[in-house]
Amino acid sequence: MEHEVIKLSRKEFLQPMWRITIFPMVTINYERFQTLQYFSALAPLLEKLWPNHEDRVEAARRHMAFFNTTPGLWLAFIMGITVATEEKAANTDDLNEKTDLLASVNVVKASLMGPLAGIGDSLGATVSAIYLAIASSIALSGSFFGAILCLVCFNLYNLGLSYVTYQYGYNKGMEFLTDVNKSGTLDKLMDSACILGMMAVGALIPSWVGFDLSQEIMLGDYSINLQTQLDGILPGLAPLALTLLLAWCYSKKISSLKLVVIIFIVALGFSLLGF
Amino acid sequence: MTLDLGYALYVSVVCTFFGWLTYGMHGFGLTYPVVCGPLVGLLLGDMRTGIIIGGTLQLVYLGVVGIGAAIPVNATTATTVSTALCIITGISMETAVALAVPVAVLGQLDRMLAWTLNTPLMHIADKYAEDAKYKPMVRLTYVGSLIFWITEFIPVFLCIYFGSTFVATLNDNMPAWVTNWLSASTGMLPALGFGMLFSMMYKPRYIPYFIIGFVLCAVFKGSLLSVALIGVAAALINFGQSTNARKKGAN
Repeated sequence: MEHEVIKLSRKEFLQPMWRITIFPMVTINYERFQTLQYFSALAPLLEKLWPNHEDRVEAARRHMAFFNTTPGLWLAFIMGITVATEEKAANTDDLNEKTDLLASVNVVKASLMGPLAGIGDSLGATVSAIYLAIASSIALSGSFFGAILCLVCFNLYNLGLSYVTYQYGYNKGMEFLTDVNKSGTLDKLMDSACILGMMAVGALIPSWVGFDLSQEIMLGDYSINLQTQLDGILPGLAPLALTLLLAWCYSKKISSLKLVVIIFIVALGFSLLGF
Repeated sequence: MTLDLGYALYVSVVCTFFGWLTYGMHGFGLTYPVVCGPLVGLLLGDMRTGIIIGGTLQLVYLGVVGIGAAIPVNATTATTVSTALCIITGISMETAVALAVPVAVLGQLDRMLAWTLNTPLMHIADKYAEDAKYKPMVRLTYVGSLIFWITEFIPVFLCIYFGSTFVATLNDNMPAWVTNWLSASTGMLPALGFGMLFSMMYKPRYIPYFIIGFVLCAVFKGSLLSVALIGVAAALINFGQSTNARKKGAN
């Protein structure tokens, strides 16, 4: 069957990217997570690419298969590849090629979502922790600028980069992925982000952990100020010890909620002792 | 004190909005405590309180991120509700920060409920898919968004409407040791956020950078921004070196 080539306008091309970036998790659920959202971001584009009823049914079934990954630039990247493949499949006259391309749509989605979520979640957490830490220290000095810094960084990272990765996924898709694995760029990026993150965490502890032992302890007629003693050894030693202890507990799989409760209990002990 | 029903509704809508954004639309960064705290403060007429509570809670929840399929505690709603209660009842900021802890867990539970309620939508969508009814399928996503609004709104309203009376009464009769206890606890809470972050990123070879960051701030009293810049420099050096090493290895 001959049919004319369907060309996407710029607006139609960018639509799935905006839709999935702005509404990534509206129908998230325990069974199929972002699946329906991914489909509805694509829906108008699929309607344009597949005028036939049978093709449309197939397309809807195809995209109702399980999908979930990190929202933002990672999701947009996979979306870019999907759009490129669907467009190619809709415009080919070779039936075998069409079947192959459409079969690859879900294979690509399924094989990318896991690894990209792994990188995306942890890289996102590291990157955001850095600007959030700086933003909150600005906020604690009473300035609204902290909030603005956070807004700018978040949207540059998520919205701005989505725009870039979507087009990259569309143009270079698979090529880029094999390339990245070869050169390990993402690993290096993650590594460098962790270096910055660790330095920021180290810097945050002395200023923002309030763990003060400045109450005088009387031993007969001899009084000790524990805080002065500790400061003599190293300023910020008590907050550092507390943080490392909590980090150790957390790495031993004690949940953060349990640790919060423990903190409250320990604080109760300290306040009853008069610290 | 009893809250006027209309005002309680207004406050609840404001508080729900930010929590709803997380899943109901897109965060746009507005869901971070450091941002939604000041905005709730602004809408309720006391921005300064919002800035401080938001900043404090941001440090507490610094390590809270959704990894994989787990729903993290709801730091957003915790911030909006405790900021609102602080402004309405005039409790101390330490007490407000302590209040955030149970609200965050409550807010996590209501999201689990929403995720569960969203599941049937998949099966309805499957039926529509068989007839290629795209428009109704897209419409289902609005239902999902609405579910997130409802599940978020009900507990928030209960917290605001009944919580404010409760909290105000409690606050008037608060003994000194409780106040001391709460301020000691909230002082220690950020250590948990940093601790979680630390164990998330931990690798032995990052320890030197951690030490440098700590000493620069604790001993040399460097500002966070200046230390972060040194961190950027260290990260860039590392990135450049590993790239060069790879190039040499390839040749």
